[in-house]
Amino acid sequence: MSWPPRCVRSTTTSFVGGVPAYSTLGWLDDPVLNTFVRYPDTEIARLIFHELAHQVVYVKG
Amino acid sequence: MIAGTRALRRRQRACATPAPNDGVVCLDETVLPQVRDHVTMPLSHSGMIVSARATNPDLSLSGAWPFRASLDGSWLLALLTAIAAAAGCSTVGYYFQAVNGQMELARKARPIPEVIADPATEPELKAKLDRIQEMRNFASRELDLARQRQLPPLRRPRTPLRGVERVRRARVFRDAQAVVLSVRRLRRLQGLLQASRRG
Repeated sequence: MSWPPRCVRSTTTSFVGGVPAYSTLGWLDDPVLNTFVRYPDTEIARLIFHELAHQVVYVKG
Repeated sequence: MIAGTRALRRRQRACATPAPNDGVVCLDETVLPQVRDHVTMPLSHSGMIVSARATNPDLSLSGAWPFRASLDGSWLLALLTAIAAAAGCSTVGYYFQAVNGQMELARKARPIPEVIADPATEPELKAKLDRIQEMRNFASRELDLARQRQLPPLRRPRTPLRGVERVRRARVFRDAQAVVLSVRRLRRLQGLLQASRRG
């Protein structure tokens, strides 16, 4: 991968950030990752419910 | 030469000797006089293309270093070169690493009950995973976000709730509202009390 990505090098205003988790929209069983397993309980609950909610709502793009 | 020994369940190939195969090529077919280094990996034929282990064969796994592609392995080398070239400049590389990463996740993932049962897991992590399972069950039970085995179509139309279920949801919603209202009332009462104590 070349860094930074092409969209960032162009004139568009871009933001590149990380996310702790993502949903495969029900295609796969998304695992609990070691990177966020030690988050506080409320944060994990938020993350799990958020990713699961993508089964119902997902805006493409 | 990297030879696969794990054929997909339905793609076992009948080999001359009862040797392992990768679903397309038998292991004994990969042992050739021209081949200097020979490594076997528990991978299927097409799995090798996307496997991190096959693309970066490591010392401990192979026992044959430096790794050198032989004549027969040249198709693999050519493929790897093509992928590496594509990775530098296009979205192919992006998708390749994404698929690779996803495969690595799938390979390393262990069922949560198994991790909890493992005596090597530290107690805090066990407790955490236990709570995570509770959260997941809560989502299935109360938030209608059950584990979906079949692929969901995007923007799945929500089936309207009927009968008892509808009444139950309405009641839950009303109860939640009532709780919020009573908490507000309590707060206000508390404020009044404090004010009167001060005054």
